[in-house]
Amino acid sequence: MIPQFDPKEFLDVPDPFAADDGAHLRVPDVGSLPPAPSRSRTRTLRVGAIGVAVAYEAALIGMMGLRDDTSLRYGIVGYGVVLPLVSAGIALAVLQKSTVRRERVLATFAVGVVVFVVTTLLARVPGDESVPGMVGCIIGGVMMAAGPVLLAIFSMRHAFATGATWRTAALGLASGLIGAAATRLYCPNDAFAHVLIGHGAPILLAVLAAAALGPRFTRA
Amino acid sequence: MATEHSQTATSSLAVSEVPPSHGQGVRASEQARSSAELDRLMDRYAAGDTSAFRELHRQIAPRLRMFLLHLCGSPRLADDLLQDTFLRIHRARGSFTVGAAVLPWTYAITRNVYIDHARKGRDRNSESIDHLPDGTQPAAPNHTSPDAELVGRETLDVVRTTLAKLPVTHREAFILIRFDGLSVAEAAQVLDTSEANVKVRAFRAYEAFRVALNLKEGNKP
Repeated sequence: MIPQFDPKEFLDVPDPFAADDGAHLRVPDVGSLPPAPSRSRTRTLRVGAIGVAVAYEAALIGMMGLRDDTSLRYGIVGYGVVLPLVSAGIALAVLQKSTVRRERVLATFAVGVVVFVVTTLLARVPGDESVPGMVGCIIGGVMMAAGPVLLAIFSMRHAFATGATWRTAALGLASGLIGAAATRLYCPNDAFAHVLIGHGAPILLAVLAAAALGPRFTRA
Repeated sequence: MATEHSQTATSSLAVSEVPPSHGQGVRASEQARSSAELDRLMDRYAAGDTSAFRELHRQIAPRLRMFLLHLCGSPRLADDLLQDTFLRIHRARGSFTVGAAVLPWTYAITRNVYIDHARKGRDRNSESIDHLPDGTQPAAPNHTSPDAELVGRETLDVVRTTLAKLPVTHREAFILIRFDGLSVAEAAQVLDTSEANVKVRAFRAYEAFRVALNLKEGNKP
């Protein structure tokens, strides 16, 4: 696109601030800096956040009641739970790298959406596709995703030096997928439209909420 | 909230005098040699070794300050923003990936600090590059005759004016490559864009300089 791009040519442009050598620079006393977690503490915090998120999901499922046909439809539940969780795990693993390239995060984002849609298609059976049923699951799904979103943002504070908005959006996606997987464990309705909208809308809401509110906390 | 916190903490920083080891015009080969050492220092610091902070600051602060100075044009503002930058580096150290390159990461944080400053209602160009506060004057090439020195100063004025007029995206790319000695790949990481995009932006900036400098000399580019 740029013919014969040679940065050496840029040396034709003199540095207008070459005389300012910053001789007066001072090193802040590290003891006066506010506490900041080391890498190992950060890792511990993130693992702990995952643990709390699992406990949160378990508590909510316990309140809602585990679907009683789990043993009958273990294949459907497997598709709807395991694959989204694997996808969310991959997203989190990619995102915690501070210098990961944008393309990889976007690919992770695309994979998460595709996994959800495909598992919804694979697991579809006839069922209730009414709007009230969907709305009920949207509310439940938002509750399921809210905990992981908040925990993810908390544990990834100041983590993203670049691309904080879409990286935090991808955090929202991972959290939404975890919520959708958990929803599948208490909602016995596997109708395609119900799952796609009722369980899928909370994912979208988690993405939007994370993208809108998260970057001010996750940006380095 | 995070910004307020950082501002408070910045204002309360205790400081100690440390002579800088880097001046201007650090050559690319020297930068390449020192980058591995910087990466090791950052790794130690991220792992919790606070003694690495002093050396890290000594090596990297002059470069980050120059980046800020080229962006904002004001030495005093660059100093303030540099403090905020190191506060953020300190805060984010736990997220620094093992084996990652420290330069793109720290430059990206520095850029965030500058962007946040600009968003606070002050135009990115308001700390004008057209004037140099604190009595700082641009360096002129080492010419012997007064006439030659005058020409040199005029050239630098043109460079500063052109730099201030460039679109921020072009300016950032050019500064990183020309004045900070980053590779195109490193600049792409800092700016979170593709290498091709960085090349386009830097080249457009260079074209603007070329036109401005040639016009100054009365030559058509």
